[in-house]
Amino acid sequence: MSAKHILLVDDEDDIREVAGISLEAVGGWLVSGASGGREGIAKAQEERPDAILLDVMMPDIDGPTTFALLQEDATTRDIPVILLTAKAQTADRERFAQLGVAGILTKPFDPMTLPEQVAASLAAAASPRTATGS
Amino acid sequence: MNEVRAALQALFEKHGDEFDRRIQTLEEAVSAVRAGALDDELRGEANRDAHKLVGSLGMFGLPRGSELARELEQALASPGGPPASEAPRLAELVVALRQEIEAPSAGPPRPAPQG
Repeated sequence: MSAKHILLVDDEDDIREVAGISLEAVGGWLVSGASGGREGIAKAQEERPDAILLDVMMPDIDGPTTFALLQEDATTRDIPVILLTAKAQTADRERFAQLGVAGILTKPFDPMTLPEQVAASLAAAASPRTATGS
Repeated sequence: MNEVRAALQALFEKHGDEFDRRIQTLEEAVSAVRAGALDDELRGEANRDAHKLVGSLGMFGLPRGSELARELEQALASPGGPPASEAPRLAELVVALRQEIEAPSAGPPRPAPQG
């Protein structure tokens, strides 16, 4: 079985590098990276990854805007996106949750457990929702 | 896992100059707060650098560094910046932050000895 491919989009080299090592060596993912939202969109269109880990605060276009642009494109709208944010305030996290992303992970992350967190977010997003009230 | 820890330690050392530069910006901002001369450009730069340190330090095994950086980020978030009376507290935070990064044991857990 071939490794699944995840695209890391973050303007910080150290975070991309640490997440890359973590997801490759600990999680067994095939990893590629982009240092900004526009590059991330281009790579998502070209590479069609299985998932995208997307930073919220970036200088060119931010994570939520990048996610919206990915949603507008038929070639990328079905790729699950997990937001990565150092914003700790509840209001920010609630706003991000309403965007329809597959998950929200907090920086700083533990590189030894990041792959588990990514897998759990993707599994939760993929599981069929239980119908209620009907 | 030892290979992962070794790789993380190498990355921590590789990015040490960047952490130092970000802390220097915070030191400059706190000096400007003390002098009542913090302009919005330096405040914004220091706020962004603190935010970056929040995200980075904890993943290198320095969660206390991330907490200190978050306090500084929040103090520098609003236009106009903090009042001069906040300068002593902010200076303590920056000193503690530098100590976290420069401590001999700073960085990810070292790989276990082989054999």
